[in-house]
Amino acid sequence: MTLSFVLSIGVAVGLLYVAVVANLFLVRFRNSAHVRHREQLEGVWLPLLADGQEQIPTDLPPLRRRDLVPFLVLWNQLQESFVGEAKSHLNTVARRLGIDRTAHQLLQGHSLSRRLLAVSTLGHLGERSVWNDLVRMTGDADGLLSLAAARALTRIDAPAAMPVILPLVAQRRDWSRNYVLGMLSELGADVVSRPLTEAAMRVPIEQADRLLQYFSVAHVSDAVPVVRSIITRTKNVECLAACLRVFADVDDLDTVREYLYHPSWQVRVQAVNVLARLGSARDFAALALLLTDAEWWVRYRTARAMCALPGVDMARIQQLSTEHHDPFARDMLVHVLAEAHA
Amino acid sequence: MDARASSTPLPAPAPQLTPANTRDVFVVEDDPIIARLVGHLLTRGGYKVHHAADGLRAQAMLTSSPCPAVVVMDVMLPYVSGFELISQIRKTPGWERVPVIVLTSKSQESDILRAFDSGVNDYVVKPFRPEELVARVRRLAEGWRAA
Repeated sequence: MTLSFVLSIGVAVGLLYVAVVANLFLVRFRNSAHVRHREQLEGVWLPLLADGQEQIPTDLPPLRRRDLVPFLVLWNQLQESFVGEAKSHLNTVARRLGIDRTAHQLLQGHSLSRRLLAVSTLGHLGERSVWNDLVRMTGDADGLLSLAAARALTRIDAPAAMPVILPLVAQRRDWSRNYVLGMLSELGADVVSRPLTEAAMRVPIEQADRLLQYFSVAHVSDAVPVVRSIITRTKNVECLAACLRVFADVDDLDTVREYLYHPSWQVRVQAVNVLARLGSARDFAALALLLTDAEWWVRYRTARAMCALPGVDMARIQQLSTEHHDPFARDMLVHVLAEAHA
Repeated sequence: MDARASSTPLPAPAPQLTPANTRDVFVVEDDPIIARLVGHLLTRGGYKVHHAADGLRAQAMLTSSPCPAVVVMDVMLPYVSGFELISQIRKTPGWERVPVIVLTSKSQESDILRAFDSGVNDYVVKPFRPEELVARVRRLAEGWRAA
């Protein structure tokens, strides 16, 4: 009885081992088959997609069902890599292959990765017929899907997409800042500037900082009046720092100087940065006081700002770096002088 | 003639730009699809493409390959950054003057200034126009040969 039990356990363990090993081989085989298939597909389609309009053959190779996803990945990556006529060439090939219809079907599916592919594809194709679906998707709980839908909308009709996506930019903390910045930069100031700055005035003040972060994309003439208004209405540190980053006019320097000694170092450092760009020799003394700031970044930016002020003699900075009463201030000035001479 | 084939223990002479490598382009790009795409565009333009998928392999090619007509490279690379690689290219005997085109998604002014300060000859931001890239490679390759 005992021997039979031990034998049974042994056989079970042996079978389990064989099953695990077989599964490992199967996974490796499937992965390498998948890689081979993708490379073969790229070998056939990349030249057809990358070459100019005049080189599209009359008979395109057939696109089998299993080719669909890797083809769409390749096609979307090329769309992201190109500007200009090459993009419309990609669209021509896609429409000849019926990719627009396939993407509509994928959009209604349950697989997130396939829906993402469909959203991106339909955006590049400029498919207005899915506008309402995409607007609905911008509200999806999944951050990736909602952001992909927002980007697709901007590709289909950027001016019409602005009122849809800007309130979401202000609200959604799960949207990647870099991704949003890339999306707005791609559209350019002429499209983004007015809607963005107007939206910053409309949203609740506690959400304004989310929009102010993207004011670098806006025209200064649109951004500065909005910032002048917001900075007087907020005490939020992120919002104040974002406002200060926008200032680009010497007329605003008196406002900026008020924030040099703000309790938050993030605000102080931005005020110093503005003086580095727009300040004059009269700011030297005020900046010198910040060389003893408790925060390293404030001391560093202050030392750099002092070196950047027009009309300030470097010998004066050199002298301060040896005579300042505070050792941290002296160290920082030495550090920045060394950088300047590097 | 390949000086590296010699059995002498002395360092090999600096690789020279010869008719054999005036159509060679060295592409350093870690994204396989972009690498394949650039390779296809340049091959179609009549160039022979040598590809390194990361900074380490590119470093190895600096010492083992003759100097190409042009280097096309990304600056965001695994193991060795593109900026460090540019500096090494400029210090490698025979490669000091090779034209370098940076092809990257880094589009901030500070990145572009840093690249030109490092000694690159041209800067193309992704997304890019494929024909424009080939034209820039051709201009630099021909300009160098003519110089």
